[in-house]
Amino acid sequence: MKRRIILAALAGGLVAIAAADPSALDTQTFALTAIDVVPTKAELDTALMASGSGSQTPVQRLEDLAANGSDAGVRLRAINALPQYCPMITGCGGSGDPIHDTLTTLIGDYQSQLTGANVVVLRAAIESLGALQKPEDKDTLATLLNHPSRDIRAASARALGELRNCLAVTALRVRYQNESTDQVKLAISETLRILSPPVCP
Amino acid sequence: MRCGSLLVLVALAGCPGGDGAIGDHCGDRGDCSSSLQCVESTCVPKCQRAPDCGDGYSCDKDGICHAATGELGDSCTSEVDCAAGLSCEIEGIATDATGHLAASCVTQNAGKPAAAPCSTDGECRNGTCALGHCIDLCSNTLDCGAGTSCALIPRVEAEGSIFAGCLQAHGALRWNLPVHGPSDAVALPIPELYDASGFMNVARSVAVTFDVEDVNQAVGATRVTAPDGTLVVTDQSFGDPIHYSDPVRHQLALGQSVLAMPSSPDTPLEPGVYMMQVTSQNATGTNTGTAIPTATAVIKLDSSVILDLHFYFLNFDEHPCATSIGGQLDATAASTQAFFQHDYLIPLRSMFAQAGIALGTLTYEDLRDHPDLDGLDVANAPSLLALGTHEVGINVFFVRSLSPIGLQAYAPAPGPAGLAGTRGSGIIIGGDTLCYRRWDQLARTTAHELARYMGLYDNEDVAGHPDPIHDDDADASSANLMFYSELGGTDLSAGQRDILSRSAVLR
Repeated sequence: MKRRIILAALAGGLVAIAAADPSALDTQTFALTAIDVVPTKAELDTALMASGSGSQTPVQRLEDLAANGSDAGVRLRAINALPQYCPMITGCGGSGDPIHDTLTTLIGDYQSQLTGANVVVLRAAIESLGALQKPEDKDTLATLLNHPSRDIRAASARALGELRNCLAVTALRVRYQNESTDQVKLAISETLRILSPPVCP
Repeated sequence: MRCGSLLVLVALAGCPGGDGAIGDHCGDRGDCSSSLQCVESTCVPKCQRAPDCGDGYSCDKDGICHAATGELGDSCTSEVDCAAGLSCEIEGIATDATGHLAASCVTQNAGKPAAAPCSTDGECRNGTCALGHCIDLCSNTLDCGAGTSCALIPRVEAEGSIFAGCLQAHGALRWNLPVHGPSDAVALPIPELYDASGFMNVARSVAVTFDVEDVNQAVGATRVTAPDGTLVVTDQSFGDPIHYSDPVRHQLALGQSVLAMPSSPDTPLEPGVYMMQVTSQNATGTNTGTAIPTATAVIKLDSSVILDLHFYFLNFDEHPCATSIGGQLDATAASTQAFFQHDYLIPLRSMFAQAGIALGTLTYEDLRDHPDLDGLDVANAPSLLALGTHEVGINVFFVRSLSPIGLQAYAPAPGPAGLAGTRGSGIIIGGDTLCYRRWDQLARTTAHELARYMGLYDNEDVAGHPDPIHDDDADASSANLMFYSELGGTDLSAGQRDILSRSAVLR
């Protein structure tokens, strides 16, 4: 499934939700704006179902919020939550899997973003794509090693480490040679350490 | 016997009202002006505390020094009862008619003076070590040096029996509790002190920080018993869910945990000796660990309500949200620019003002040479918090981003009050929140985390569990400051205000 995600007009939604009377907000919104905890799948399920999502299942609701949520804070948590909904044993699938496609579509749509909340949305998608641990996502993430934002480059390097794809080593080494930001160089170094023997002979 | 700064001998007689000035010869007090007394035939200022009179003297409420009459072996209740060269020392576990531990005048030791840190009685000149400090016995605060007051202190070595001793009157008192082995019963004495109005009050709060060097082992108190025998922390193991029905909330944690009491006004701190079973455990919580814990107690003695905040800034260069932040975020900008001083600090001050707490000293410091921590994974939070150098107040670290994404902040709850440089010495604020929230909203997030550090819990957490405070006006209210969502309000209940104002991070 490949959906085209329209870049959200964040400002309007942001002000609306942030200025709202807390008593007017629902449990779904609260669960997806927790300050210092990442809610468990069970906690999210409870909150999402309590808020009523029509015919949508919790994961469908999260995919929708990740792709189209009007508030960046809610959206980031929805993106972050998606990997929790992959099957325990088999994990999420590759291309064609709704969660995987939501994340790769987000990356595709936001990878040209350089400033503002959209960069954070892009970083969220990168972190979550890494958490899916699909080696075939190597190229998607390796491309982002050259993103203008140091935060995106560092996040991509860390996410590549999660894929355990040894073919990423070359791209990481090349980027390391050209990288001038210590924050990113350290992230690349850590991933190269992970992708060393015995993981990568 | 106390060695004061002004050693005098006193001759007392006659009625005041003479015209002798300081240094004039006198036959008795009547020869000196009314603000003076006659000491060794010389007019000198009246005393305010016994140490003004010197060794072996007391000071009465009229400011007159009196020579002690206690000789070697005589019973005593205060250091000022014993003649020069002697000290009033607790005899053992026997108590006198007042119920206090019996004491007698003995030859003073060649040890540390009153208020010096100690771990055993023998280290102290006056033979009494309690709460980690050498203590002079006293009958009232006039017997004690400036800055100290006469307090009722439970003596661990005497099964909690009370003695009256001179104790630091203000601020927080810190000392190390002895822990022998990976699991040990540790006594925590809680004193009562006279406040400024002359009323006796129990110490405001206590925070005990447990640490082990091996961060792969858990540490904490598996059970805590109050002086009246009530179990306030029931049998805990690492990894247990929170015991919501316990009067005091506490959980073992890897590397460091903190026991802060009281957790609720419903279960106030009691004077006497709390007994804690302090334990290290393996990471599964199934067996006692091998690490020997350290335990540091910090007691808040007074009702001071000043909160110092020490801001640290990691590298925010090229931040994608520099525009919404208001520009470059660093120590210089934060200390001068309106976005921080006005948009952030004013609401932050306001939120604490409702608890009667005032922000005090604010410091600003850059941490630009830690690129490994700029974009922080919360798993590495201890490495950053260990950089907090301020013992008084709370260290607040601004990082450019926090992962997993969506986390806006991190705070140990409660935090290790009074301790710098530990794996929990501060809170962390993620700068990427400013990509989609305003500074005043970040102030609410910061206040929430500071309050957690100071001993409050979420009034309702994401799973719907309540905090330990039974207050109908706050329970489950999204308008409350401690509501778990960033979109909650800023209200505080009376009970929450009480617990906040007792925090040992306040000065």
